[in-house]
Amino acid sequence: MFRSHQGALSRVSLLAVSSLFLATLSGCSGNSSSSRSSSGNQSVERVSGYVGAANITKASIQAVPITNQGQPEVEVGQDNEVSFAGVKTTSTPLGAYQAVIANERVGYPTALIASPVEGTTVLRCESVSGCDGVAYQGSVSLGDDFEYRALVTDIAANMAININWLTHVANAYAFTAYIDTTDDGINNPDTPQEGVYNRYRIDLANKQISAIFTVPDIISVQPIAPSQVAETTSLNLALQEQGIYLGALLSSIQRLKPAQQSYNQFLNGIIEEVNLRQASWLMKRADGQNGVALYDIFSAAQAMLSENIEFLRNQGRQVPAIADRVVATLASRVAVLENREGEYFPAPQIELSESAQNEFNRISEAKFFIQDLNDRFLNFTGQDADKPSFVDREYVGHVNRYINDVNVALRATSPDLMKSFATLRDGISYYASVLNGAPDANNPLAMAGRVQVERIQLPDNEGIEDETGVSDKLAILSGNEKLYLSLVGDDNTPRQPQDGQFFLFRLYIEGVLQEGDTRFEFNVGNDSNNRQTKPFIEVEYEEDFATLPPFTAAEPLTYQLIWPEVKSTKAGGETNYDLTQLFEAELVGISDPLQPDSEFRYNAKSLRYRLLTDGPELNSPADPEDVLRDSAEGVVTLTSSSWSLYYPENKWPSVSDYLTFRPGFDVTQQEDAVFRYFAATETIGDSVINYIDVLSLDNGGDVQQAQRYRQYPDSSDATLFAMQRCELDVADINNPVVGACDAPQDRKEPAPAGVTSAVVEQLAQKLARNIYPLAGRGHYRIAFPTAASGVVATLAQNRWVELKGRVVRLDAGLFEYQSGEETPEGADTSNEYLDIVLKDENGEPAILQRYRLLLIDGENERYNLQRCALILNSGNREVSGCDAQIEVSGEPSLQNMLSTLSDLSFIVPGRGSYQMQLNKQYDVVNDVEVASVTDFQANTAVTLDGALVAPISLGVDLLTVRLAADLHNRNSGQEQEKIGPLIIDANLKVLAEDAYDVALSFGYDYQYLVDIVPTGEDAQSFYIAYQTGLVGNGAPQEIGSFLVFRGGVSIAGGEPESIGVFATSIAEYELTEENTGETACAVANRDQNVNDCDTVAYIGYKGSLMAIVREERDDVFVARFFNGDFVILGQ
Amino acid sequence: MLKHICLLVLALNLMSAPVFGLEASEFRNLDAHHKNSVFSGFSIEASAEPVPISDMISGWDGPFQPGEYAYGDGRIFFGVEYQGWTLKREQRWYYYLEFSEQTSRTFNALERGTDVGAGGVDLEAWSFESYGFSLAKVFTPLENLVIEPELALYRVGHYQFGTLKGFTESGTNEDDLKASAILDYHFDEDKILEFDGDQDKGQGISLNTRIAYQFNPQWSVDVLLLDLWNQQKFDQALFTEGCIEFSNPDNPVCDAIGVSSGRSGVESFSTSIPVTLDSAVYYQSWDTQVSYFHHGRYRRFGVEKFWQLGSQRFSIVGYSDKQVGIGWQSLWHSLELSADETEAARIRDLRASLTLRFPW
Repeated sequence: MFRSHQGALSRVSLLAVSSLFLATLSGCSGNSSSSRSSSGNQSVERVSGYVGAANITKASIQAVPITNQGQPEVEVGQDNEVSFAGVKTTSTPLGAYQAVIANERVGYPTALIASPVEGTTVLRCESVSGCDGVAYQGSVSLGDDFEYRALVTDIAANMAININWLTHVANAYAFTAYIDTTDDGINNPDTPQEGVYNRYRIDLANKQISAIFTVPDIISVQPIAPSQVAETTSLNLALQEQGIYLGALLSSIQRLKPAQQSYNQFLNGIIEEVNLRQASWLMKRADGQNGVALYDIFSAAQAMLSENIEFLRNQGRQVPAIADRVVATLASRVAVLENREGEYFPAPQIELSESAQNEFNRISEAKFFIQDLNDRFLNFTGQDADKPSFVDREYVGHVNRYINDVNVALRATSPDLMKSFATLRDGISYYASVLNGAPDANNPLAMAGRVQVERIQLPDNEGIEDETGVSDKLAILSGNEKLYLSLVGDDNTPRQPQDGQFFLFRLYIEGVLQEGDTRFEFNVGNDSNNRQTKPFIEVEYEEDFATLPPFTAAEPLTYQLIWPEVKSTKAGGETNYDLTQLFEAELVGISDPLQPDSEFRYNAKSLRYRLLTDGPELNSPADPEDVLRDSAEGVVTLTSSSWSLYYPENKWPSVSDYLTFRPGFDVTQQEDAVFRYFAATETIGDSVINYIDVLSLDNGGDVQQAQRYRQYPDSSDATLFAMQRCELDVADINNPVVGACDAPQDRKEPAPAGVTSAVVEQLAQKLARNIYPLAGRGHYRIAFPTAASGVVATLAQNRWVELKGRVVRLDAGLFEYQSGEETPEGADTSNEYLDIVLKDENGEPAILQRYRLLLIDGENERYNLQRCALILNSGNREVSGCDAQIEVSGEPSLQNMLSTLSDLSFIVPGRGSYQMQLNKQYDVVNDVEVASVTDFQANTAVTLDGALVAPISLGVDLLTVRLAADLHNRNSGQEQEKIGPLIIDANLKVLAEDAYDVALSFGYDYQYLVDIVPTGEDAQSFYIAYQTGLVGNGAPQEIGSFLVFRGGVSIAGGEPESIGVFATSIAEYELTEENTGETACAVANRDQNVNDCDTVAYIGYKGSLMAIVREERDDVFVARFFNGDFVILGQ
Repeated sequence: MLKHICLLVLALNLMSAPVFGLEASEFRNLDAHHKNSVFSGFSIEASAEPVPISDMISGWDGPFQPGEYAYGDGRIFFGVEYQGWTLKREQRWYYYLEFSEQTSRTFNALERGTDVGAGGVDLEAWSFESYGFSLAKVFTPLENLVIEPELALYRVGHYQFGTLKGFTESGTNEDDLKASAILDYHFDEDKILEFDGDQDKGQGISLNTRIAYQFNPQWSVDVLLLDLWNQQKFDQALFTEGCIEFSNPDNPVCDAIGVSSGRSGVESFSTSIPVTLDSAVYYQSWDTQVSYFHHGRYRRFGVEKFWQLGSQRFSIVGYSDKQVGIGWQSLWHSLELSADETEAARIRDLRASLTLRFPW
């Protein structure tokens, strides 16, 4: 019944779902008759074309699909580098390429992107007089900034798509997509603004640029470069003429581009002008006017082509006469432009392709649909009868009637259910006392005469079929009804018990329990894994027992409860209901290993509850299959994370234990006025160096300690510097006196981009890791202002700044290490080891581990390290099990191994991760910062402090809620027919505060599910998902997805149809502890300071990107469509 | 959002335009005009009928009275006069808002969270920041007549022009407000939403004229017409035109398709601002003048008494809008300062100017 949606919660899945859903809705398809090939398991198609004027070689080419967000699709590599999606190919010496696209992408907007390949991409010089010092037909290197793009609205197999500067200009014009018009908007496009691609803009841009240059189609016409006009070609005369003409135009920029500019810098000037002038183009520059006019381009094209023809003919080459005709054509264009100084060629009026036209026409339709949808969501259940609602008001009435009716039954059942739990608890307790030979006469059930021990012959039933002999079975009496408890000890456990003893016991429950006026049947049924199961409670103990011990004598390590079917019948407000409940729970006990008297408490590893409600038959048909009956199902499941490590505040699972830290074991707390710092420079010898003076303050604000930290930068590497600590006398705060200094130590820290020498923030980054003990206050780290990823933000200079302190939990004497030598059982040679012991609050060993140093033959720079668990046997340490060996670099010595271990964290269940506190000496070896323990002591037990570095919290690994109902019209006087099923499916995953993943789908009157979206002729449904978390660089990112399906919608009186709307949103920002005055602008972290928050949502309608939504003012969400229309969403 | 629209159109320009006024005082210095000099100065003229000027900037939390306009014109200038020609470089901040009394009541109620009531909303706003040059020439066609036309050409930097017309039905805040209105708004920076686009600075032209006539040794008249003919033209102006609707009013003036809808984009646009008349009749025997100032709905009479002390000339002035002020002129300077209140936060009407002149 229940389907896990975990996979659908990831970003990739959301987008995939969007695409799938849209494809389903719109029925979009590509050119299915085209030829196909296969790459791996994926069917692919090919497109081809020329780069530049067929004169750019070794360029990287990718066919990149345009996403639902109107952006070229990107993918993130393993190293978190973002690159365009799509297989790369390289242009040939003839300037040609062939690229592949996935078959499923056929029919969608696509960008062909040409980019440079490590300095090898070159352009052939077409100018007889040479290009920027490169001879005619020589290779002009295209710089790292080279990029040409070409766009198509509906990519098709074997499509010819050329990529050149004209397509690149069109691309830029298409990409700046906000446009407007003051009249009909089709033939008079206005200035675009926003950076998205859609079909309308792509088609408009390609056709307008084509029209400006009188090229039939800049995308498909095969260019012939001027230097190649004498080459043989398979093109017919008409295509040859078009090709020479286009080739000359494309080559013109070789003459027009200033030598000091790259081609893309030059084009950027043109692009800026085209965008600003809305695709109208300066015809000829007037005196003093800047820019690149059409006159310049046509003149240069004519001159270059003429010169090439002359040159080639002088070389004895046969240049076709058609080339002369092109020269004449270009000359006539030049002549027309000759006297048009300062005038602009108007943006051409063009006829859009059908797909682009459809997309444009859909805008107004989409605007009304989306606004109508907005209104329907605001009046979701038809609260206001006068407004349209998302859920049909009558449908809501039927559902409410059912819910109200069932609620009467549930409220009546609930007290009796609670009583039955108490009865079961008392029954199990009494049963344990019986099994241990001391029946508890004070047990409430015994006192009420409701228990009866029955001697049974084993095997009794399927739960204990492997057992033989006799046993005691407890019957809990409810009048004439009996509920039996029977016990099975299971010795088939990983821990092998002694003979006749068990770690694990299973209590089976069977029969009927009557509480109040409710009769509960504990039936055999299917559990959540669809296994037929008899109701049971399973308990596992730390020690083995012959029989179930009383709970007062021993607390189980774990509880598992599976009651697949607890059935009762209850009257609702109108009719009786069969209530069938499933209970499943897995509780895990935990104590604090460092607190010997700590209470055993239980975390819920998983919980599951299901309720089925079935009403009576509403009719009496001849055919049983025609029986009408209301039924509904509700399922709630919860699985937790960190359930084995978190020590809860409550004995039994409680909501209050989730997403919080155990008191006293939190590393996020800060206190005010703990430190002051002064960052400045001083001259040491001939060098000016950075330093930071750090003062730690007592509760009264007086200075407790003062140090100066100096930073000697490396002359050639900004990541390296030497760090020196000095004593500081701050009796006169304005004139601190430097005292004794330690020897400088080489340190390494990533440097901010662009710096050539280490900066003071890198020094602060090191200091932020120090722990400073403050008498009377505790231990603290310096809370420097930090930006994303915890990197120290820019420090104030030349003034004292007070800072908070991050509270550090430092447990004195937590660790103990001791080295030794052993010969493990079965080993040929001995090895050295380090025992790391974590001691409890009484100083006794609580967690013991052994780290073996295993030499590798002939190796002085590597060794193997193996971690083993130790147990104490009569005070002796014995290895109980070991992990696999791992190879570690560094000199094989115990001191070196201890240095390595000091960087590791040791998890203490119930508390968190601790690090050993050791004195270390730093050095940079082979460009890596290496920390060495300075005071290692061999063969003696050395006690160390431990610092808590990471706390533990109980997370929601997955919470799901599913409600489904199949109801009927029960209104008197109306036909008793189905009203259509209802489904609500919600998933939530919370790993920490503000790091969650939530998805909800809702639908009614649906016929089937398309993945997660309920659909059908009359279905009304939506799916919404939101994910927050951190991306690769540690910055938060929030991604939302929203799909709406509405069946049977009639737009403007048209035929009813199914319409889909999708929206995806993305929010990116950088958290900072600096007071930027700007807080997060999406859903999470709304109270946190951020840098540069940007949230944008993209709305698609019938599969086409239509609008962009932004929060333009506080709580004012504006959907802006690509024709300039806007709608304010919300209330 | 209606409040935002009013507030933003009304007030946000002021944040970037703290100086207002007219340059009439400069023209008033009759003697100086016939000398060669270089000069520099500033002038401010401001009047806000419903609330103090400072409330126009920071929010309507001070004293309120129903009103129909808010006006400000501030200039900083320097230039040279030579043989009757005047060339001047000037930066100007101008705004003029015209609205109905009911509109001011509506906005005031929204600002203070009191009952808005039913009534019309009618707002028209012009505001811009400009910088440019002007050239003036003194003509003396008759012995007693001076005519000085001035042509100013300027670039328009920041600008906001718009109208908001509709009505409110009821409400005390944005959550329960019932209202409907049509917005027509041209701007370089969107103060209502955040529409952005490629736009160019505008160009402006204004014709100003001064006419001074000496009837006899006792009587003379001085008339200054600023922006007598003017136009601000934008090849590419950002615009938003839309329909705004709150809480489904019974008879909306337009179909908002929900809260608000419309279109934004770029278009060519031109507009002009109202003419300013600043005139005075001077009676020599009393060394006194009576003046009249008119800009849109802002009108003001004044009486100014002068005293000559050596080469210095002092004056006390009173205006019909309760302004009281002083003047101090010499060959080197001209200072005028008047206001209707002594407490800055309560000033509704303000006039200030200072011109420093270096004759040669």
